Amino acid sequence: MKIIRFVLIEILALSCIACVTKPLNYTNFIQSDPISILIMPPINKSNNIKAPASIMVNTLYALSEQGYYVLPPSLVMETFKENGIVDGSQASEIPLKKLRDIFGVDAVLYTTIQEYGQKFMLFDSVHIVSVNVNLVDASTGKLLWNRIADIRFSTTSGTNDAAVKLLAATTAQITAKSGNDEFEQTRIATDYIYTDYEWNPFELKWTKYKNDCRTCLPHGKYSPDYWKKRAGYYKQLSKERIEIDKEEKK
Amino acid sequence: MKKNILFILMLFFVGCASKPLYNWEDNHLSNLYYTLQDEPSNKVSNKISTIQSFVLKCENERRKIAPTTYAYLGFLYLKVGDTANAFRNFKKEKKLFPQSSHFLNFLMKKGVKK
Repeated sequence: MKIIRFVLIEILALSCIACVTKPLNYTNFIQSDPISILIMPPINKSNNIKAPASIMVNTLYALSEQGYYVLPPSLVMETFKENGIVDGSQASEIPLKKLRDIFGVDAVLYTTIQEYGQKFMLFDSVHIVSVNVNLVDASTGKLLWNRIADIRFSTTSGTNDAAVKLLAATTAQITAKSGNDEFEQTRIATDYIYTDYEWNPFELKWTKYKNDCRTCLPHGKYSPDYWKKRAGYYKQLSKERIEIDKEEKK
Repeated sequence: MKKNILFILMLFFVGCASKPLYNWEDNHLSNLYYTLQDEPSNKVSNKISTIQSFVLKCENERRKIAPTTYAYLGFLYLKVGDTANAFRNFKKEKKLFPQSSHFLNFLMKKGVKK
């Protein structure tokens, strides 16, 4: 009996260590409190030439709706082009000071596209947006927020076949609302990345959080849910994360 | 029973989908998508008139215009060589979103020199 109880407690304890997602350390973000963001042309490691434009435009939408001011991509790209910069890898070499002088922003968003676009499988087609994003303070170069997101969702409506179920087991999977358009579908992915979604490793899906997201980009100043209204929450998460990091070092 | 509750909860969450902060012109994002891919710019004047009427409508109804709308309109005016209208829209963007001032001032200074 005792043994059984012990095992039970053990299982409970073990499962609860991983009950919640490891929080982000928001210390730099809290100090910086960025309002304006420059979206850099993404570094494209996929073989889809439309990926950078698609990601940039959808990111503009997501970040604006999240309460930030994003510098107009049309004029930004024009300025880069006039200076002989045509892609993300060239742009990534521009020193922050130069970016700050020209664009006058609080933060710079760097995106690397690992994989992008429609993939056709035996029973299904999936839309893939796999990116690493880093939001960096334009003055100090400190990392404010980052996310590695590998988003895949089914673009066919029937979700009951085996292939889709298999897919759901390893990655996020939802049914796209409309059309077959890669650009429109990418909107769902950028929503997951920049608004209040977080990958839930227990339910194996991207989940929307209202007040208790542990890794999301906090809301900017133009949002009614501006993060400063809940600064204590982000400080608490940061503390938690610092503790976890200390534990892991031991 | 549990399933029912779950279903009701799901309906609840669907019903609570948050409203967007801003009004976006219907084709603003897709037009921008093509602009960034260097599509031939023969339809610029069409785009200008669509955004112009959208902006007018929002201004009249006092609805929140999405950030970068005026700036994009200004960009399109620059494309057809109408600097006066471009700058007029840049000024509106600056007024609505002061965070754009630094960059737009830089562009206007450069434009005047040209």
